[in-house]
Amino acid sequence: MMKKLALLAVAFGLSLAVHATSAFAITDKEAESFVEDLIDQAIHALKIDPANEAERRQAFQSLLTDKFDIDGIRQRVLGRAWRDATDAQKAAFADVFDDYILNIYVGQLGPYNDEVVRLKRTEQMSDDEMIVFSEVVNDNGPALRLDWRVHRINGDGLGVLDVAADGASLLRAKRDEFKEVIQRSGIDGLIERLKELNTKYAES
Amino acid sequence: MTRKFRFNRMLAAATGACMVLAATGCATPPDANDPDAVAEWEETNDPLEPMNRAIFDFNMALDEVLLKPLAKGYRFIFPQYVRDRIHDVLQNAGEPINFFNAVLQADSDRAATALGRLMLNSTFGLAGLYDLADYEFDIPVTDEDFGQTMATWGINDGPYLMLPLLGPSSVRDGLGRGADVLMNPLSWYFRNTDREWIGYTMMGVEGIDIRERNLETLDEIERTSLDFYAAIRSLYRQRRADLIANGVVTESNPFLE
Repeated sequence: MMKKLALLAVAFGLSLAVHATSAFAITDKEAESFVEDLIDQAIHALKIDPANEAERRQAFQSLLTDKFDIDGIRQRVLGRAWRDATDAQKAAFADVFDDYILNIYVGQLGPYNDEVVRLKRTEQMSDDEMIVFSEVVNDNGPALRLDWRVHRINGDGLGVLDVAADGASLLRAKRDEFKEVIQRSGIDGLIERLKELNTKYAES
Repeated sequence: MTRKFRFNRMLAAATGACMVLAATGCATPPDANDPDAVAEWEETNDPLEPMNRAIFDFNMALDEVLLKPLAKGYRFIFPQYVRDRIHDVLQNAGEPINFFNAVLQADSDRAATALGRLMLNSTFGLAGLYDLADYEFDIPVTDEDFGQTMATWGINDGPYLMLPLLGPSSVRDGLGRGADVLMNPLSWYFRNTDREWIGYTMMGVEGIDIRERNLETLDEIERTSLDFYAAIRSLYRQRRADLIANGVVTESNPFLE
């Protein structure tokens, strides 16, 4: 009797453990529908007339907070400087960096030209990380590959950590660029330069 | 193994040249006792940075007064349709390079693709005017060059190198460009028939074609970057890694930890 109970307990424990991991591991379906949602939201934002800048910016702002792991991005984009940064510096950086990212996207993306995004496949990198491969097709020119690195944020919802365009990671590109500025003028210098760029953008 | 050895000697020569240029050309290595700084230095892999930056400034100045206006004029004069035909002809003329390099990489799929594209586009594609292989049969160009070939042979890229006029490169890829020109039977044909000017003209038009295709992209990268030089360096490296891995992202692994 005791043996049976013990066995039952072990089996129950095992099934709980299995259940727990499966509840947290990302599935293909989950990652795909997450990226599909993201693309719908992005196309919606792109369709806003660029002349209507405030509304467009607002739409991209919500896209950024809803769909991206902005904390994880900020931390990685600073590289090893993140470790040495004080809390005050991190907060100041967060302020200017989020603005800067919005400036990049609101500025860089023109009006919507009927581009179609097709999801190609997914690849599981770990329990809580998945790459979703997609392709942006437009009328003229070759297709652009966009690979989304999606992960689970603190065992909760999903968030995009990085996007690679034709194999070039945007996060890595920015990290490499920031590293150069940090080497020259420190993290305060970086914050200052980002602030200047944001001001210049706001004035233009 | 001997190949690798020779290349290392080449690198040694480059290091020697770097020492000669030391007064102006080389960056100062970090303190050897700071492992993080050393790791960063190795990852950046740009010991010639001061010289490279000077060449980059020169290229940008030249771009402003010459290449960019030419690219804009090219776009203004020729409609998209004509530019596409010119692009297709140039791409077709470069197909032998894709083929020979795929062979050297022992990549039979890509060799067959390049050869098939060359034959189809040169005949039914009206001497390369139409990239039928891509438009009708969905077989896009496979971009191979001798820099990539050397990479598949296990030769690493060596220090970053900014070439005058030609732009971002590395010691390996810069040498590869020279090999590619020698590899193309077209350039030998022009040479042996005293028609080198055709080869040079094609190179010139190709430069304008590439610049025209990147007018907006480069402007945006410059406008949104804090350090244009470093941004280009990172993007160039990543693009090369992607080309070498034939677009298999899980292999080139651009993502950070």
